[in-house]
Amino acid sequence: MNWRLSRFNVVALVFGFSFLYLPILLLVIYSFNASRLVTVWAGFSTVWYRELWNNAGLLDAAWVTLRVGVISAAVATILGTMAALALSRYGRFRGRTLMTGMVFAPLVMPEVITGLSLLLLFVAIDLDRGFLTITLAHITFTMCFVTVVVQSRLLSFDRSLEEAAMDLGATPFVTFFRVTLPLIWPAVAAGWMLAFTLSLDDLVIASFTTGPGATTLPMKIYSQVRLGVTPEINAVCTILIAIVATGVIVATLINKRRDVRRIRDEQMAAGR
Amino acid sequence: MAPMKSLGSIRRDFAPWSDRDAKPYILFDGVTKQFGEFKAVDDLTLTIYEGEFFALLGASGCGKSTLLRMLAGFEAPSRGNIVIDGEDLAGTPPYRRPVNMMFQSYALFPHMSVEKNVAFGLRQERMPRDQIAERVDQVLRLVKLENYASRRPDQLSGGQRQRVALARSLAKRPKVLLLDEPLGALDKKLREETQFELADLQHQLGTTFIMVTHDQEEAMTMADRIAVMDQGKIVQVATPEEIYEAPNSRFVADFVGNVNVLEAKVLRAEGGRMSLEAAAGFTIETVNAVDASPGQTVFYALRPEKLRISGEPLTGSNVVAGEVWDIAYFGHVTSFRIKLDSGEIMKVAMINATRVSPLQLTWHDRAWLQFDDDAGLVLTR
Amino acid sequence: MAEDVGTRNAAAGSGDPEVLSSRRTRMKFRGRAVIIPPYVWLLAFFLLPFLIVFKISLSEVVVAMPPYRPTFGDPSEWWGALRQLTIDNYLWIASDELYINSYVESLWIAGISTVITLLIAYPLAYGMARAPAGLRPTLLMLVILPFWTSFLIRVYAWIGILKPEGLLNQLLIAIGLIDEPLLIINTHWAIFIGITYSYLPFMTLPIYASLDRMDHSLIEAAADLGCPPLKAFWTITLPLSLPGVVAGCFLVFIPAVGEFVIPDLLGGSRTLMIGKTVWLEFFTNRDWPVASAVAVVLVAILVLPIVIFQRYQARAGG
Repeated sequence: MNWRLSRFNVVALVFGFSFLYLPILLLVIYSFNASRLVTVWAGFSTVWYRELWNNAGLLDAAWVTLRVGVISAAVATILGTMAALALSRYGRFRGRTLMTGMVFAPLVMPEVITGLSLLLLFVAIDLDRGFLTITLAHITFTMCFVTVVVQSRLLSFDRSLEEAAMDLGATPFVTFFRVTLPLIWPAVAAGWMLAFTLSLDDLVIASFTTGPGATTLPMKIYSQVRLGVTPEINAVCTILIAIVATGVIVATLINKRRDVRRIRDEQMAAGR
Repeated sequence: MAPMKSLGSIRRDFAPWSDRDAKPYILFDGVTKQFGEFKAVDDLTLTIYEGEFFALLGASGCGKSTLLRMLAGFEAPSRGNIVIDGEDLAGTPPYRRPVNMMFQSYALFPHMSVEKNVAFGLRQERMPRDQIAERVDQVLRLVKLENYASRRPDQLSGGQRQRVALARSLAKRPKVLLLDEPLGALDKKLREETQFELADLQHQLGTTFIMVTHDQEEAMTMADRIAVMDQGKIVQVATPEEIYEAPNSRFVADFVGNVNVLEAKVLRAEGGRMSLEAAAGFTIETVNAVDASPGQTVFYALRPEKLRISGEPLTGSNVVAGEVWDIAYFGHVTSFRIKLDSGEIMKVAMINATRVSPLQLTWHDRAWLQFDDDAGLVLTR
Repeated sequence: MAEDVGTRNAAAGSGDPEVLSSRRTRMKFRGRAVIIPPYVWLLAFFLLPFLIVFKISLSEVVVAMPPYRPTFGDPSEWWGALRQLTIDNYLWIASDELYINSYVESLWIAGISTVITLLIAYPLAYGMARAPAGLRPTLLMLVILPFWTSFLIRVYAWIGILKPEGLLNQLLIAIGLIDEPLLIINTHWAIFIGITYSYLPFMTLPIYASLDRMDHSLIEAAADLGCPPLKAFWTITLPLSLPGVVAGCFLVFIPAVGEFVIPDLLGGSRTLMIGKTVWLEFFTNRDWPVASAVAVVLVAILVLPIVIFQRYQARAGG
C-alpha cells in the first residue's frame, strides 16, 4: 500500500516540477543557440550575450529598473512594516476596516486597474510622468505584499517579549528597535526581497505610469517580444533568471545555516 | 529469583499468566523493527492474555510506541511475527485488523461531530443505520457524553475529547484496544480521576487493553501487568506489585518509584540469608539472598519508605549514620536526603501518621537510618 | 528615556491614576503614530486614484490633454462641472457586445484555468506534503523559485514552446503522435496553459500548507477504524484540505480575470480578456473615460469574490 502511494507521489512531483521548470530550462538552453531561429538548434554559442552587451537601450532599461526596484522596495518595506505593526499591534482604531481593505485589495487587484488609476491620479495632479511616478506606483503596490509577510511574522510573535522590555523600562521606541525589529528582521528582509522582485518584474503598472525617458526592462522586453521570439531576449531572460536563482539560493542557504546553528545551540543548551 | 507468595495481581482471581494452560491471546514472536541502523524493537517476545489490561512502560524512544504501532499495522516488523487470537497479522493492512487504537493526540476528525466521529468505524463496516445509531448512543453513554453528540471536537474540553477518542475506538468492539499515552494530554487532577474510570471500564467490558505510557503511576494504577522496556527490549514483565517490590534489575528499580541503590560486596551467603559490605562502609543483613558468591560486587536496592530515621544514635547491623542534607515536606510524607559519612546521599521517606511529628530533625543534624532484613533486594544487574 | 523611567517609577510608587493615565495616553499616541504614514499613503495612492477613475468614468472623451471633460480644475466651476457628469460610458459598455463578451470570456477563461491549475497543483502539493520531512523545504523552495523569476519571462518561454514550429510540435511530430503541427498558440488553450503555469505556486502553496498542517494520525485513525486509503483520502484528507483549495482558487481566479500579459502574448488577437480591453481602450483608442468605466465594472465584478475571500481568510485565521 505504501509503495503504491509513494509511486503516485513521485509521479505527481515529477510531473509538477517538470511543468514548472522545463519551459525555463528550454529558454535557457536556446539562449546559447547559434541560430537566430530560436526553434532550430544550430550549435552552442554565446553570441547573443555579446550582442547584449552592445545594446545600449537594453542596458539603460536595466539600470532604470534596478534603481526603481531598490528605491521603491526600501520605501515599501518601511511603509509596509508600519502598516503591519498598525494592523497587528493597535487592535482597534478608527478606520481599521478601511485600512485592512486598502492593504489587502491591491494584492488581488488586476494590475491594469492599479496602473490605470495611478496614472489618472498623476495626470490629475499634473505630475510629470517618468522615473518618479513609476517609483511611487511601485511603492504603492508592493508595500501591501511587505505588510502581509511582516504581519504573519508579527502574529506568531510572543507579545510578552515586548512587555518584558517595557517592564524593564524600555520606551516603546527603544522596545521596537531593540526587541521587536531584531526578531521580525527575517520577515522584513523577505518583504524587501519580495517588493524588489515584484518591482523588477512589473510590466503593466510601469507601462501605465511611465513617461518619456523612463523605460524599464520588462517594457523593453515586452516591446521586443511582441515582435517575436529572439535569442537576445532569451539571453536577457537567462541572465535575470541566473541572478534571481543565485539570490534565492544564497538566501536559503544562509537561512538554513542559521537554522542548523540555532538547533545545535538549542540542543547544547538543553543537554548542557 | 523466587516468586514471592505475597505479591500478585490486585484482581486475585485473574492471573492467566501464571496458568500454564492459558492460551496466549496476543503473541509477539521474536519481533524486530529496524529503522535504518537503529533497532527500535530488538528481537522481542511477549505474550498477552485475553481480558488483560497490559501496560508497556518506558522512557521515550524505548520502542514501546513502535510495538503498539506494529500491532495496529502502521509499521511492519522487520523480522518476527505478531499473532492475535491465533491469526498471524503479517500483511494485513491496518483497516482490516481486529484492533482499534486510541491515539495520543486523540486524532479526532475536526470536520465531523462527536457522533460522526464515533460512527466512523461502524460505517466502514457498513453496519445498518439504526444499529449504528444505537451503538453510538450506547458508547457515548458509556463515557458519559450522550449530551454532546452533535458538538464538534473543537467545542469540547480536553477531558471530553479524550472520552470521545475512547468511545470512537471502543465503538467497533475491537478484540484489542490500543491506548497510546491515553492520559498524557490531561492535567494532573483529571488524570487521576480518569485512571480509575478507565480501569473500571476495562473490567466492565472485559476487552483486552494494551497501553503505552511513560508515566509509571499510570501503569501502576491501571494495569494488570506491566512490561518495562529499554532500548527495544523488555527488561521485566510482571504485576505492578512485583515490579515495585521485586524489580529484577537496577534499571527497573530506578525507573519505577524512588530507590536508593547501594554498591556492596558479598561477605557471606548461607541458608537464604546474605551479609553484604556496603561500599559506604556498613554491613547489610538480608533474607532476600541471590545466587552470588562471596567477594562478588552486587547492588542493594532499598526504597526510601522502607528506611526508618532517628535523631538518637542506633547500633547494630542495617544501621547507617549521616547528616540531614535536605528536607521536603509533602504533607502525607516528609522526604529526607541524608548525606552519609562516605559522601553518598540516601533518600528516606517518612509517613506523617500523626499531625505533629515526634521527630524534630532539621538541616545539618546528625541522623541514623535503620532498615529490616527484608526491606531491600540484592540485584546482580 | 531617563525621564520616562522616572515617571514610571513615580507612577508605580504613588499609584497616582492621573500620572498613569497621562502616561498611557502618551504611549498610545506615540505608538500609534506608525499608523499614519501607511494610512495616508494608501489613501493618497490607492483610494484617491480609484475615486478619480470612478469620476473619469463619468466624464466625456475630448481631444485634449487630459483627454476628458470635465476636469475639476477651477474650484469656482465645480458645480457646473458636476452637472456635466454622465453615465453614458456605462450605457455604452452595456450596449456593446464587445465589452460584455470580454467580461464573460474573462470569467470563463479564469474559471477553467483555475480548475486546471487545481488539478495539477493538488497532486503536486500532496506529493510534497507526503515527501520525507527532510526533503520538504527543498521542494517548497523549488515551487517558490519560479515565482521569483520574471512573470514576463515565464510567459515568453511558452511562446517558443507552443508556436506551430515550436518545440512541443517538433517533439510530437518527432515521436509520431501527430503529422500536422497543433495550433495552440493564439487559442484559449495557450491562455489556459499560460495562466496555469504562472499561477501554479499560488494554488500549490495554500494546499500544501493545509495538508502539511494536517495531523497525520488522523489518516492512521481512519485506517485503524477500517477505512481503506483511497476512501480515507475522500472522507478525511480532502475535506480537511478544502480551506487551502478554496484559498488557492481565489488566489488564482481573481487576478486571472484581470490578466493582461498572458492573453496578450499567448492568446492572439481573437481572445479578448477584459484586462486587454482596458489596455487597448486606454493606449490604442485613447478613450480614457470608457477605459475607466470598463475598469470600474471589472472591480465591481471582482469585489464580491474579494470580499468573500477576505471573510473566508479572516474566519480561517481566527
